[in-house]
Amino acid sequence: MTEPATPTRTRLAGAGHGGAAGFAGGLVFGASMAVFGTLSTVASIVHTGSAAAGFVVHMVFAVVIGAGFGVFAVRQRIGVGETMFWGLIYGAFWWFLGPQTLLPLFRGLPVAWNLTGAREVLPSLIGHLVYGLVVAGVFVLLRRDPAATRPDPLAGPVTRGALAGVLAALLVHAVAGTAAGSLGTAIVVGVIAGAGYPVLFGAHREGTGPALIRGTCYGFVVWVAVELTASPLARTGRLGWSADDVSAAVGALPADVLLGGGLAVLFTWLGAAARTLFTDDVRALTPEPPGERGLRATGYGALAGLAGGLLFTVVMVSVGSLHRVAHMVGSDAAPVGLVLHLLISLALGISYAVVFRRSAFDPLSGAGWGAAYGFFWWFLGDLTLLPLFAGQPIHWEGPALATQFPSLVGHLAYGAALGAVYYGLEARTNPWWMTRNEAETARAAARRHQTLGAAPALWVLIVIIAMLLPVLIGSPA
Amino acid sequence: MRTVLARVRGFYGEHPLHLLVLAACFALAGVAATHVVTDRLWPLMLIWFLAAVVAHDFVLFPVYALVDISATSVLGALRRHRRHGGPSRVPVLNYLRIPTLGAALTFVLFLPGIIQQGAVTYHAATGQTQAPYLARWLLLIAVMYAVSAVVYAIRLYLAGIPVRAALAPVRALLERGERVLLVAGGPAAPVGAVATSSALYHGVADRPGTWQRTPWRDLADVEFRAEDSVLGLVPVPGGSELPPVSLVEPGELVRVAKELIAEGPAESPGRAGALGPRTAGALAGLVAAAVVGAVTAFHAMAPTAGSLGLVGYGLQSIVVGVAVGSTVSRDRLGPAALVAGGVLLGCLGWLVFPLTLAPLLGGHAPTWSIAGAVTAYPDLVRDVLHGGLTGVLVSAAGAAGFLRPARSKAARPGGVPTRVVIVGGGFAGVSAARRFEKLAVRGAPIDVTVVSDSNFLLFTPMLAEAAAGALEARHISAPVRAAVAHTRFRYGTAQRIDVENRVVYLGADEDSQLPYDHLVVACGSVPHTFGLPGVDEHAWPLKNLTDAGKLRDHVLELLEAIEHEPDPARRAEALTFVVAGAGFAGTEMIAELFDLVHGVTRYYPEIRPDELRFVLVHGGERILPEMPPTLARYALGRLTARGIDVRLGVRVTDAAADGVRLRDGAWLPTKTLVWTAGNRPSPLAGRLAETVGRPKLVTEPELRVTGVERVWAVGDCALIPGPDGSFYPPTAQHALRQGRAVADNIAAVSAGRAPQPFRFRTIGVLVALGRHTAVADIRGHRFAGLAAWLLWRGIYLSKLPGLEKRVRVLFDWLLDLAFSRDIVVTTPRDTRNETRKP
Repeated sequence: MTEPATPTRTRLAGAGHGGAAGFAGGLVFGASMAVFGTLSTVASIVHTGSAAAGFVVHMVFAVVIGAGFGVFAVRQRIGVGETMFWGLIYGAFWWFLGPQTLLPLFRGLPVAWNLTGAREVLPSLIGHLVYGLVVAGVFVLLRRDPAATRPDPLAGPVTRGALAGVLAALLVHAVAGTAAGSLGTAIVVGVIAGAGYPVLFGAHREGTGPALIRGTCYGFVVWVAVELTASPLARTGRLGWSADDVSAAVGALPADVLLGGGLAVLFTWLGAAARTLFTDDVRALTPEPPGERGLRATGYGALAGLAGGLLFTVVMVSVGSLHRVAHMVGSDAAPVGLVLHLLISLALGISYAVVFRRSAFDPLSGAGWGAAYGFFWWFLGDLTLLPLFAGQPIHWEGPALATQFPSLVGHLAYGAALGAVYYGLEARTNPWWMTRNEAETARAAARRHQTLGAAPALWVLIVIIAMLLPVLIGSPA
Repeated sequence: MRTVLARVRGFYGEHPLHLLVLAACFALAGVAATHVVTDRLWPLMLIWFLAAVVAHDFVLFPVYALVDISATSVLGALRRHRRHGGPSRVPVLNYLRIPTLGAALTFVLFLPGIIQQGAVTYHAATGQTQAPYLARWLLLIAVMYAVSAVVYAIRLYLAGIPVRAALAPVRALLERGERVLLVAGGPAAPVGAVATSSALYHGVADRPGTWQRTPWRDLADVEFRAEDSVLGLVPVPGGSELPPVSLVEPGELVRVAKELIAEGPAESPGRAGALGPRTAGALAGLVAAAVVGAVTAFHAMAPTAGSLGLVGYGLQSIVVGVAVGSTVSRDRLGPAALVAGGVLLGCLGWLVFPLTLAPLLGGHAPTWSIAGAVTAYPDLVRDVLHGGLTGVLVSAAGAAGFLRPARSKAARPGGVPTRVVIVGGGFAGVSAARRFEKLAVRGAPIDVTVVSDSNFLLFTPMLAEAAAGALEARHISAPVRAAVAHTRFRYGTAQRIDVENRVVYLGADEDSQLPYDHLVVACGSVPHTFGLPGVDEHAWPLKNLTDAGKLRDHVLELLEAIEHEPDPARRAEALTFVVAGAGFAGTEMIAELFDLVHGVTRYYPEIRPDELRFVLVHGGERILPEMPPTLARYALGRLTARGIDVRLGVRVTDAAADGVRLRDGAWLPTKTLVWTAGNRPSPLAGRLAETVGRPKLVTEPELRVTGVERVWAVGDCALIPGPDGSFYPPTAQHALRQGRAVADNIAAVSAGRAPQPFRFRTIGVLVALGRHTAVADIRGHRFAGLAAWLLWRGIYLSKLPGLEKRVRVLFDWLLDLAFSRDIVVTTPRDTRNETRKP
């Protein structure tokens, strides 16, 4: 997760680079604030209403906060893909700390922390996310080692990514129909998003599970970039970051999340298929065939899935949604729903074991992967497949999402329990820290770093998205 | 009567009175319930009961554990960092646990009253309100804590006997600059121990004030007595002042000292007063809670659930802090990961506390609805900020040196884990290594190396089938490296063991020396021919895969060579198969040879079935002496019914290339004599036994070799006494358990605990008798025929090491149903006779 500190990687250097990156991010964020006319609000901190003064104050904050990012991120792996998500959660955290807490304090106003206040500063949330992205990008550029080897050619991966994007868009559209918007737009978005995926994250090999989570977060970024930014700009010439615009666009979030997750998985699988079919060098293949310990892992996954399913059952019984699950098999009886729910939990547990095997290195990382996996299945399972199998229309609009919020909580709890229990079971037979020599230790550490490079940021981003859904959706159902 | 009681206890697992009391309790509860509960309420009560069980086991129990771990951690930290408070000689933890447990239990009892559930019914039944419940419960727990405090004070007073006089020699050590890690002493007699980086100085019971030095490598020989008070655990890097002392558990003494030594030299010791990561996390959580709480209080934002919410917030802060601290203790995380972890835990905490527990404590069922989430939105902002701030504080504490160096599981910098060498890669050796891996997963600092002259674990119960070509030889063996993937493996033969200097020699050069702290001898046995003339040269042993493969090729080559042989005498020699010894291996072998030869004769049309002769020679009065007589008789009947000639009460006296002579003078012309009539421990075990003047390697009940320090022996090579003084039989099921037991015992000794004697009662024995027939004795239940054969296959298939091998053997058996046995001879003809003997 972290790299050993070298003399150049001092916090001071990190702060310097972070400050410069913060300046760049501040410019972009400042421009959006100028559009929304909120610079004067910032200016009130220094008891003036001038937008210019507000911009100066904003830039000072942006540089200081950027320097903070540099201090925090200086020991993280330097790569666009990894750092991008750190920037996003850094921006999200500052949205809680800045406009909702410090800004009222500085202005001598009461801190409210309520939904109304949060929705008022919703454009600022998008601005903070964009600020975080820009800071992360510039920070990576500034800290990139010029002597590093040239990056691998991207033509192949970009083509593969575009293909994965198209396939994912077609799949989402085939499953969700009109709920996923028009097919032409979906394909265009799929091609662009798919082509951008390897550019941002590289074409290195990755497990299906981590790729799925990365793709899920990428889907959120696509939603911000397309539904809240590019599309409104193209249609109306203005940013769609206001509370009403976000509420209107939240119906497209499931499609984009599924698109992101799907394209990441397909991108990974297409790469694996190409290696299997066209690679004659055995070194490029998976070191351990799935049969070696796969069955045991599957059993552990089933057990962990059952444990998570039991936890989820508490939520389902409380909110009375077992009947809804029973509809999948044409029944209305809660016991049928319970049995079906536990079977689905078990199956998802097995799928978790298959795609997340050896991805967790402690209970927290297990819970992190699991919660993220549960989040994805809320979109795919609860919002999409469940109504599909029950013969009901798929609804992804804001009110429908609001109705299913308890299920989201259940999915997160299910996933966290699944991941933590699975880690506990896996650690008994695969103690990664037990190595027999230095070379093996180095290999284990390298795999760990690769797997967990951006993972904490991914988990946090997913949980923050989930928790912010009430703010994004708007008034409660 | 005692026998009956013992049988009941053996079946039930407890004294019969236990069952009686339980039954009485259930009956009493049932009678009470039938008087109180109406028919309508039964289902409801049952649901509540089941829900309470689930809630307790899956929710409350983890909470108890978490609180207990947190309390242990905090109290441990306080104890370690007590600088000037003098010794604390009585652990306080149990004096907190008991009243807390009482408070929790009474809370469950009082809960309906506290949350005013069933107020109408209660009033109708008693004429009173439920208002006083909360105050009375609080009063009750206050009394419990007060009583506990009084008892603790009394214990503290009684234990307050001066021990500093016993510590005078410590000053001298400190003045010499040695690192004092712990101090031990007893009030009655000043028998204590002082640990330094090189040795342990411990008191001598009959010579007060005298200290004996024992190097760490000899620590297992030091007997630690459970004194009334053991003082110590004082990390003082080169200080010259007598350190303050505090109480530790006697059993933990050595373990803690070793851990401190292990982490000491390679890591910065941190500042004086540095905190453990979890303690620091808990403190950071509380500080962050105070800061964020101040903001909310100043701006009149009360927690969602009122005063209960405030308590919940406090608990949540500690839990989040400890969890953030735990991530530090597992690895050196960067500040970004710590802050992210804090935010993540804050969000998850929001789901658990404000959205779930707060409604529950308020007497409402949680809905997790979006409306509830909106109501609790202030708590979300609070928890996100709190989590992030906690991460920042923990990170800052680490940067400022206020955190003790984290101990990573991946490596123990500068640590000296106990070095264990296991000689032998059979059932016992691999079982021990596997157990060591599990112990290491749980944190035991043990470094294990397995030495074996074969890189696979052979599943010997199926060796006869492999020799008869029914199974592919490689399918009944598993690579040691795969079986114990996290253990070092050395492919080689242990040539010599130097028990004085604790070194195993694989060869002459330095790289071939393996120093050890504990040695496990599990080198198995080798065939023993008792020096009978010609047997070594002409008999086929059956101990390993090479033997099995060569025997199969030899039999098939005989059939190939003899088919067109006109001389009847030569045909009789070639077509007579003799097995010496009718134990498990010999009996199975003759049955499998019978099946092999008769199964393939259709490929050899010139060989008539009546020419084939199979002879089983056994010195005892009956075959299978390890089996009950009835099963042995059954087996004898099955073999003789097929025409197998079983010679009982005679032994082989000598062997030649063309035949075998028996003690009764009979001459059996044969070119195939399979020797299973005797085994002896491997030569290495014999040489080791000679160093202590014994003919065989005899162990104590704890599996330690008698008379040799730090050497343990398990499996076929050792004579291990059972509770009745007789030795355990050399079977795979015993070897597996002995391997596990020896690993546990070595781990126990390394941690300063006493090893346990090995105890195991044979589960059962199974012998295959060829096609679809076997005999089995499972804990006194006897099986024979097809049922026993199915048992044999099912049990041994499940015992095969590794799923892959199980699948392959299963496929071999399934294919055997559809196809005849393979008659390909793989050994080159010219080399077969040369390599016949090992």
